[in-house]
Amino acid sequence: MRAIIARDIKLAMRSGGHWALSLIFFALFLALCGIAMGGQMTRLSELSLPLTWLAFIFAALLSVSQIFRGEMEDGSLAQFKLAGIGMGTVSAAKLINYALLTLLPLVVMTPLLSQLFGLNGPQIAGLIISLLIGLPAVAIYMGLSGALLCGQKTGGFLAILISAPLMIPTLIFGVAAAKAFPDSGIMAAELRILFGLSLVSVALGFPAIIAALSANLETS
Amino acid sequence: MINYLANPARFLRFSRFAVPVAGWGATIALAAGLYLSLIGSPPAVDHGENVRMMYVHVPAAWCAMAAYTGIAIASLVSFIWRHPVADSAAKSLAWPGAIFTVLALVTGSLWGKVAWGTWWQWDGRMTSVLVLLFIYLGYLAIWSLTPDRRRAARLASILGMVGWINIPIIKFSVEWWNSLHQTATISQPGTPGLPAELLLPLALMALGYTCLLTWLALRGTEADIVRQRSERSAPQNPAKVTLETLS
Amino acid sequence: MNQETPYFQTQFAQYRVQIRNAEARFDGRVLFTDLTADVSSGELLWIVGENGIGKTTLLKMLAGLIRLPPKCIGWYDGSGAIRPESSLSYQTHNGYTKAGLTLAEDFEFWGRMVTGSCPPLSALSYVGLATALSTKTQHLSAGQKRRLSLARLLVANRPIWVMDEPMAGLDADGRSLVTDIVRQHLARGGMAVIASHNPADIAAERVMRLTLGRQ
Repeated sequence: MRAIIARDIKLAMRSGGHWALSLIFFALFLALCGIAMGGQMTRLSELSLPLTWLAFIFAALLSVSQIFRGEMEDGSLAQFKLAGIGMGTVSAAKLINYALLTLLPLVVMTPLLSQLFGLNGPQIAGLIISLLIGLPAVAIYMGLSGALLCGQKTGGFLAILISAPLMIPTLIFGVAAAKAFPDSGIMAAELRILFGLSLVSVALGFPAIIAALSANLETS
Repeated sequence: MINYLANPARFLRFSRFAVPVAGWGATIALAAGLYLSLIGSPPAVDHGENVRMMYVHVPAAWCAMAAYTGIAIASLVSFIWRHPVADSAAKSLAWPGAIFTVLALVTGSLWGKVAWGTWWQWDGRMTSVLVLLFIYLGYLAIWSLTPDRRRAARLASILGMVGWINIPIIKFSVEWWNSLHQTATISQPGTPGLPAELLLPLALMALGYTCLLTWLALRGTEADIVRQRSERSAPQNPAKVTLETLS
Repeated sequence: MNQETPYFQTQFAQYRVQIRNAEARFDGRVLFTDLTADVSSGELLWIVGENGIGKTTLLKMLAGLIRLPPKCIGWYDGSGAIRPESSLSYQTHNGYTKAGLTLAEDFEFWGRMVTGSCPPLSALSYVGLATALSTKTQHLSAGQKRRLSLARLLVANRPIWVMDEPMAGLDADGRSLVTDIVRQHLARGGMAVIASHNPADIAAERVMRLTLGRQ
């Protein structure tokens, strides 16, 4: 598993900034939101938490097809199976990579971008903590549509259709947790529910991802 | 039961008997139910004539959920035992289920216009039904966009099960979220404790809708089995296999 | 070229595969039915037939990548039924190189995946790729990718080889390299199933040809 992660990080570094595309989208989306709202700081700071969460989810959706499709198309997935490496290991490695290379940079960028909305310290901290706690759920549900669709060429739009409804609880509690943090701190009920949602999504989504990859492999 | 119906031929024998039952059941129950609900029953005390919307709305919402539960059960059977009839059943439930979901949304929205004065309210139930529609659309999209039949069936069964487990989570989240900004309870189409003269037409309509859903699903499954059978019996040209030992 | 190499020192155990009335479909279309064959260690099976007739599907079935009805294809070693994954190498027709890695990196990655340790780079010189070690895999020619696949087969050191068009894109020197490597593999008790348009002359305990033809 470590070898797969190391290889993918190496590939990402050599891809000529491909990995930064979601990051740029994230920044652009938030900048456009600020412009569309007329640039009024008071209104913006109120809306900034939901907007950042939305931007996070859409930026994550952008690279859904890259999670598994490459491995499926060039036959690597079949070779992993023949090498005796289970689909569980492969999907865990690919999801960790997706979290590290696509989702984590977005979280790291967030403090900088939240300056567009004039957020203060505790608000930024709440936003980052909620994004980090919700991150596994985002990765899993994106991974699920990636795994379901890895066997076909089209499907960028389909990924949105499949992932978005499943993301709704995470979105609701992510925003609520970010809002609650400045007042209630780390033990806020919303944060705990968000954490629970992440755990449930991993328990439910990870086996589904493995099953979807195997299904695509054995019928190709 | 499941194993009995897993054989396509046996399923067709069963549905030859069940289809007319469901079809006539739907016709009679809907005819009686529509008469009672639109003409035969009195207007409700606090909603007036608007209560009649309930008779078409509540059964639609119920059928939308029942159809998805059916999909989830068929998906589970298909995933574990790989019964092709379960695939056909899940596939055939999806379109009627999606249409009932749309019907529930439209009638709910009409109700909203008279009860709340707007076509849409971010009310917990309405929002959950809207999300259910998106889940249906995703499920249908997997079926129609995946090229290979076996693969489509497999992937759809996975998505069907994941979606079903997520529905209560989504419902809980949406209702919790809804409770944040709406303190006053809004009247819903379909409140508990209905008097009997309103309950009877509602029960008849629910029975009629359910029979209609069953009829649509059975017919769809039959058609799907027959389509697959005809594809299999279409003139095929398999390669000729010859094995020789060279040395 | 013809000297015995370090890669061919061990002798393999006995393996055999039974194919019984196998039937293949691709996207609903029946490719072939009633395919029955037996192959054992030391034997070579050529699969010939025109494009799109189902050769690759048959190879994938043999490699255990496509789900089949039970008892259709059975793999056995001396003690009983086995899963083919752990003893089989499947050489695909296009290779499975990752664009962005160099040839040596890609080779090392898959060597580690299959054997768990760093594979000897000398295998790359043996197949004639010594000068291309730092070439990015997307710039390799078709023949160079074939040679890379051969090097992977050598270091994986597995008794069963399933190969899809191993000669395609290779020069005369490369083709004789393939026949040489397969011959040595068979000689030490390995098994080979090869799909090819033009079977070469390779000596083995038993050589069979399975033809898939239009009726």
